[in-house]
Amino acid sequence: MIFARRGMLDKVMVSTVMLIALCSILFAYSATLDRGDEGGDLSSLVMRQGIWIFVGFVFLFLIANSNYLKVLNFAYLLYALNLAALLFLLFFGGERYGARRWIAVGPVSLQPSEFVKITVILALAAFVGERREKMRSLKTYLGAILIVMPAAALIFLQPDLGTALVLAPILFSILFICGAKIRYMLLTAAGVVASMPVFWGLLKDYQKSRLMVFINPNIDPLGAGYTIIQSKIAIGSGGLFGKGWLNGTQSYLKFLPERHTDFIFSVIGEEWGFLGAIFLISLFAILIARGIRVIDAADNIYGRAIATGVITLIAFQMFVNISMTIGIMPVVGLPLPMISYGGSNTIATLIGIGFLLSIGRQARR
Amino acid sequence: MRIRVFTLILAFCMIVLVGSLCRTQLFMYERFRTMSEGNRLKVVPLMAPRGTIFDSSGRALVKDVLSFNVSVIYSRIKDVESLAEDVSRLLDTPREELLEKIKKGRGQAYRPVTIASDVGVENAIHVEEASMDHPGLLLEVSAKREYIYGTTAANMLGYLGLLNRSEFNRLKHYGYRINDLVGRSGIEKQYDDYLRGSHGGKQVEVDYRGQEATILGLKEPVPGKDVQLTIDIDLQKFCDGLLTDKRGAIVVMDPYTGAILAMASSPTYDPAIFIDSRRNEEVKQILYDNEYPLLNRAISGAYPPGSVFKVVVASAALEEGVVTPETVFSCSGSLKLGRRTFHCWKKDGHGEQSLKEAIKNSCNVFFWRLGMLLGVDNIAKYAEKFGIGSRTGIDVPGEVSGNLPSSEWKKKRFKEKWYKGETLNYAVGQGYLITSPLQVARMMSVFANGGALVTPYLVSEVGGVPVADEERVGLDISPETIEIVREGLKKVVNDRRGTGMKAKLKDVVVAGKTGTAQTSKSKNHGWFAGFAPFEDTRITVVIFDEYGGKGGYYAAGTGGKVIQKAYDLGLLGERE
Repeated sequence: MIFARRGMLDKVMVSTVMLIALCSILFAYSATLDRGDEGGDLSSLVMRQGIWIFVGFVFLFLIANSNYLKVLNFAYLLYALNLAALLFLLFFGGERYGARRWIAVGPVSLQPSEFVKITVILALAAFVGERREKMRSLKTYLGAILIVMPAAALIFLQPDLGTALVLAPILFSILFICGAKIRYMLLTAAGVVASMPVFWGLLKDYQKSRLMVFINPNIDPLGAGYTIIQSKIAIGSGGLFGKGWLNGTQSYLKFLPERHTDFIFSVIGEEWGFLGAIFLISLFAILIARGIRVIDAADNIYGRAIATGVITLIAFQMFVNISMTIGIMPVVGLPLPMISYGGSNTIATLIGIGFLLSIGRQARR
Repeated sequence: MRIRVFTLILAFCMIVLVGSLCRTQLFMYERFRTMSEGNRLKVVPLMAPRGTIFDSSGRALVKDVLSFNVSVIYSRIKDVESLAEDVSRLLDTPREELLEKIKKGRGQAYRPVTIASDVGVENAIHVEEASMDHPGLLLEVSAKREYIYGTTAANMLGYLGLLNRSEFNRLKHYGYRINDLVGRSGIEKQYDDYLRGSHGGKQVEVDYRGQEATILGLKEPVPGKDVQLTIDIDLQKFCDGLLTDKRGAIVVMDPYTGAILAMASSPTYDPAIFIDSRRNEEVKQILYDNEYPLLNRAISGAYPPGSVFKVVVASAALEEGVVTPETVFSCSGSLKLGRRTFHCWKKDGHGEQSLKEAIKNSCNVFFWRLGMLLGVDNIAKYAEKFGIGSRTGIDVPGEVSGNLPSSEWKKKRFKEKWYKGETLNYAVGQGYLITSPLQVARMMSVFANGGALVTPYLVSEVGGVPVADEERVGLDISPETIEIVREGLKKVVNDRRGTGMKAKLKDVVVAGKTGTAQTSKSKNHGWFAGFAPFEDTRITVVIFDEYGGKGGYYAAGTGGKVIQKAYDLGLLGERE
């Protein structure tokens, strides 16, 4: 199978993704614009985000037009390389913001933990595909967990709790959709709850304080609680219509830390208000709905597994990210897919969507 | 089937998101919008310095000086421990105390919080230097009232106090702020509107560090106006010195204009304690002191005038024609009225004497006779003319009116008729008659200036503009009458065995009258009211010696010292 052109690309999904990418550019601009300087140069961050999106779309179309099953042949290899990169980071990575997440490749720094979100999906898809006859067996179930474990452990040690956690819903939604025994999953969930106190001990101090602050932001209004409070003020003060693009006072006066990365949604909520926030969430809803159609229509378990993983990845990150900006979840450092500034996240997400398009195209009759 | 469950879970998450956004952006909008504005807008008050109070020759008595406070902005501090350590060393303050105050700043981490106030210029420079190494440490400059002459003239100048809540509610529309200092007494109170100026303010947009990003509005503060007084600080200081460890008051006034040259009251207080929160204990002591140091006895104290009142009775008798200057009465040492016998202060009596002699001797029998001839209401009529029993209208608050009795007054007050015996008391300045030292000064000035009642005042200029409204009311008393009383007053001081001979001076001719006011206690009040020089008079002096004993004898001596000092200071020279 070389280029199996069985159908057209899903135009609705492509245009939705383009609209989301447009929002990304608009708000990267608003969040990083320094209105203190008269006519200063356009923020270079916006240019870079534009480049990332462009590169991401190149990958998206390449993959969408290729046969994903062929890529799957390299799934374990890609995953292994990615794990190697994570391992390398752990020992040689330069520290930034107290964590080793970036690896320098020429002029750009890549974040292997963002790409591992995709490679782990591919590896899992390859694994469940091979064992599609024995999906209900305990061996398959445990095997899938074993595949994810090294990535989760390496990311957790960076330390990056949020990204490590995102691997869990990916794993379990793939197992669920592909037909693993529900009893095993319930037992696992019970086991996790029972071992919570042990995990608490493994958490770094800043992670603990983030969780504590989530419960009560006012225990440390200037430290960990500060971001949540300022973010809620930003979004809340946006109201129904918002303060207008580029008019958000919270972000312009820099009350909001990390406003172009993890807290970009606060800027959107402040400047575009409730209607803008609903608009953006609707775009994601359309993307996810089209993705579920792909799962449904996929003609093989490989495609179903990949589509499930990608949809879960996007939906989970979006849900957790927005939730933390409005203070209904702890701050765990997950980006808003494609919107938060960051090359690795943007490219990885667009690659994932490329697979969705490819699967959908090949499933069309 | 499983896909449907998966879809439902995702849909549920979406609904949760939309619901939460609804709550945050629609239902809690008002609250967050207010918080966002509060984050962003800050009003920085720009305090107006209070005006300076000068004496008549332009020497500053009370002025605002710079005061340096050490503050911290909590959010900007990098290392709390080392900052506290260094500041503790510089200011010689316990580290723990500073740390505690710094920690208090957590609550309002983006605003400066004072950790040490009024540290002095030396320390201020050191702190300024240290602030280079310690972000978050800063020096704030504010104005502080300085009382250059300490307790001198405190009662007249007055003190400041913080505006309380109810006053604030009443005055906020006039530009007062909740933590403003307002004049509580004396000049500071009377001229508060001029002295305090008006505060300015700066409305700024601040960024996350609390630093000013943009100035949205600016109102420059307008400094308070300066006030120039008529007093001479050297004479004032001398008068205050004379009253040290005594109770009483001294008034020195220009009899032609009413300008006050000195006004002392004792005991007094240090006005600086009212603006220093560390000295609250002293304030409490002052407030509960039995001797009322806050009372300006010169204007707010009311006492029987005693014999100094005889000048009024003498004038009344001459004007009403009940006696002539030649009329002679004999004093045998006592006077019988009905079944009661009244004793003159000299047991053996003064013998035969005319009005002038009677003034010189302060003979009670003579004035009792005048009183009987005049009757109560004639005395009251003249006392009123001379301003006794009514406020003088001086430009400081808290003046008393005293009491001017008459037959009608008694009927109203006690529902009783006036008794003749009471007329005798009245004629020598006793009984129901009470007055303030300032009223006595005004009364005596009538004889110093040849027959006019003046309105005393303390402030000559406000903000460089003359404000003195000199008021002189002719009393319609014949020059002859004035002259005869004046002669008597000259004799009091200058004749051998005059009652006021202690006031006699080599350089200046002094005239005056002593008085002893009987009190319910065993000791009497002493009075001296006089003027000098006799011709071309420059000052009227009133000494009030509360429970001074010995009556006017010592008061006259004090009066002489004050006049001598005024002479030495060149205040008795030719008028320009």
